[in-house]
Amino acid sequence: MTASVGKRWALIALVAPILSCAGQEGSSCSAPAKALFQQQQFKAAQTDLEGCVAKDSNDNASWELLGLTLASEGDTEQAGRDLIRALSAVPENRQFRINLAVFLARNDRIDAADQVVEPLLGSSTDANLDRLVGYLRLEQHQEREAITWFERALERDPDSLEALYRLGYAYHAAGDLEKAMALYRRVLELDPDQFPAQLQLGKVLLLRGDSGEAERQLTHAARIRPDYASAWRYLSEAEMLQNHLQAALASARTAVDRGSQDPRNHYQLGTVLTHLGDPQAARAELDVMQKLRASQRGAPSDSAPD
Amino acid sequence: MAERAVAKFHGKRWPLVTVPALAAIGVVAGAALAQKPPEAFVVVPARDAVIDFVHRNGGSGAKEMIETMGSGVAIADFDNDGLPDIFFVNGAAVPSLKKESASFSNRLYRNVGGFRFVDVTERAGLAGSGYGMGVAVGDYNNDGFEDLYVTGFGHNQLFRNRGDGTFEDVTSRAGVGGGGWSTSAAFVDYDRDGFLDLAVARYVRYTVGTGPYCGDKSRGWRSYCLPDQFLPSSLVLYHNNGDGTFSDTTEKAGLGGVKVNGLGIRILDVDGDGWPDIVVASDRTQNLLFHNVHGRFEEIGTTAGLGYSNDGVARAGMGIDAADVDGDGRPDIAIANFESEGTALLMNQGGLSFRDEAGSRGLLEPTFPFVGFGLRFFDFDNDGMPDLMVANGHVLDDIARYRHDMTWAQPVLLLHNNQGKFVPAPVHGADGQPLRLVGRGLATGDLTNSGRVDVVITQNDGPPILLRNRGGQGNHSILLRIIGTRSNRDGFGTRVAATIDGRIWTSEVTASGSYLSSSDPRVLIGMGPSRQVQNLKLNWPSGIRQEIRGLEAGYLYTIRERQGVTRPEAAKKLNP
Repeated sequence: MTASVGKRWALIALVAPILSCAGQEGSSCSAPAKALFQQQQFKAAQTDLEGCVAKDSNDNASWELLGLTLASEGDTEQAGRDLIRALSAVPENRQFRINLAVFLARNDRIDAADQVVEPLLGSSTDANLDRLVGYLRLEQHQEREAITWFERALERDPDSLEALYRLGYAYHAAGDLEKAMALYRRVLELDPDQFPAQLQLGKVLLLRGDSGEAERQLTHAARIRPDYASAWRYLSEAEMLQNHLQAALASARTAVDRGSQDPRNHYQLGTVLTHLGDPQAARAELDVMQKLRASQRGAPSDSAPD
Repeated sequence: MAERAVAKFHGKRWPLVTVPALAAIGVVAGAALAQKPPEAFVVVPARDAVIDFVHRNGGSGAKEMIETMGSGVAIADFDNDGLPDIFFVNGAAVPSLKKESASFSNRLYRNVGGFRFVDVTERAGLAGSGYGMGVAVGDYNNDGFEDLYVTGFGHNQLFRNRGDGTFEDVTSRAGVGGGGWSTSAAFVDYDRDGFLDLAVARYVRYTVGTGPYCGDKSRGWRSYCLPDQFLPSSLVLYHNNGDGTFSDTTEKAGLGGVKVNGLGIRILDVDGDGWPDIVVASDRTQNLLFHNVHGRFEEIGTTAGLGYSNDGVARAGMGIDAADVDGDGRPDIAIANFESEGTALLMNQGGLSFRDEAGSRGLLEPTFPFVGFGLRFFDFDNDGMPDLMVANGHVLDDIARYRHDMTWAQPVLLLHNNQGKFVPAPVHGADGQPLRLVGRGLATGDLTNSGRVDVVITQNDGPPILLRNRGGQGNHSILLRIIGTRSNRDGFGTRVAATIDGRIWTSEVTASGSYLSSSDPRVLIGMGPSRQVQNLKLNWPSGIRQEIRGLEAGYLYTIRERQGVTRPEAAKKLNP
């Protein structure tokens, strides 16, 4: 088990509700752009907002919204500059601060995000902020602290899928598999097609040696996200343990097909082929794995999107 | 009925009612223990044991990787007085890599009985030189006295035991000086010619003073680097020529083709073909299994399923050991890993195939939060099943800066084997708190010939800890000293199978395993409530098979190849 499995994938879901312009103080100039932003018409919003800041370089609301717009378009460098400019002008603006922290977290600048959000921690927090800080703590491998933050978020919003999943993940990363399973199951009660929880539940079951139940859960995970290589890889592992070797072979081949540059997929295929008594084909797959590993210098590791 | 040795174990004063009572109602000792494992170990204060060794890592502030990795400990009877002695490896000053003062000296402590020791380093001539890491013990010249091989950063040293309490540095003559960063080593008669050869694991290619700045430079937090930033190394294999010299046969024997960050080494016959195999735990590169095919090795770790985790990730392997965990007659393997990885429990499926079952066998969750180094399987409660102890301790002395929920010192874990599943058992320090150490080396041995296994754990840049086993839980045991005549004199590689109440217990004679360390090679067989080993079979490396019947519990037996059980040389009955 690696500590980061699924983090990056789910970050998008985590921050989506936070990284918004809702609630920020708007300028009259930026009002139409805000509507465009909410309709995800980012190019048009950008044009409007660039006009606003050209007219009034102190229009902080427009700078902020421009930063968010550029972030949505993928221009992270300029987005960062605009978000920082807006917050620097109005450092007491809570939403600006959270937006910048989320932006930094999304761009893997976890410690910087932590510094940005730090002034908010002394005052009262809300569920969104609790989840964000929990996320930062997870990324910093402070699992126990992350657990505290997610538990606090759940006190305020008991059915938050995001918080339930993240708390489960924090327990998972801390090695408390029982609690992790219970939380993943709770997420799936609320939303049976929640892929990250489905995948993680399957993985925990595999770790605990319950390959039958793991096979069922991972079959469902692969059905939800058939494009996702890791779901097939773990399913293959469960099938192999259940001695469903032909199914394991098919799943491993699908994993390789979906993720040919991930050495773990080749490892699984090689392992299945070994069990099927085809050492030559197994060797070939394991050689591919070794070559990929050598070229990736230790990857996949904790940063692997899984 | 075999002739019985006269060294009756002392201290067997268990309440007789307990075990028979349990047995009478059909409860085996192991099952009873699983419900509430009693505390078995007591920390022996250094002043009581008269062991004043303190490991010094030479920490220079430059955070050289070598500082955080050491060091090892050996338990072996160097003077043949029947009591195992203790040898500690020490570091050196950095960057000079010299033992600039006596505080950097390696130390040999002679066991004088009663868990008391005397420092005999100076007379023995074992202070050593250079930056020490690990130690292997074996009688390489078959003269009846255990010799010492000390690994280190830059060079290794072989010390021949003269048999008079002194040792001679024969490194140059023997040709085993090594090079690079040697870590764990093991004596093994890989070609079964009756002489012990040497296998040496090596870590990364590293040069003091040239490493990158690791840690958080913006905050001035310089920390130890991870091995990924350096190139890996191959093992080294030295063949014993039988005349006091060795030849480097690394390439010839098939070990040179693969390079990893090797830290732990364990010799065992994984497939029961009579040829000793070599298993290497490696840090963030794949673990290796060198399968011995009549004296030549084939590396099959990945195809055998122990190279990587079940999901194909190279973990940070440190210490390694092996034992038959589930009583199926095949040796299983444990490898201590980094935090968030858990200790691997590689169950031997037969046919040179392993699968990590740490999760389903209770090993994953207790070990998951910690950085494991030394670990050993041994039967702490003599119920006949090998338990596991793991010495933990983070590699980063400043880990608390980065992870608020983590510390440099970490708990020692004892995991009781209940029919193949592991359950944590407590180990407390003198303060009544869970024992936390910056654990590195770990060696086991019956230091008082009590029929119970004791433990010595080294700490990085700190004093070692002696754990005296006061348990036994009313269970019986025997202790075997194995002496080869046609085989290597230590009998390393001898397969031992004991029949106890119809159940077959198996093991293999070795001092190898754990991390940088060497353990008492005598074989302790936990017998539970049984009072007799009905049948003992030994398969010697020479091919000789030997069978002994009716060994009564509570004795130390010395068994010579082809000669059966003989009286121990000293025939000492120890004080209770």
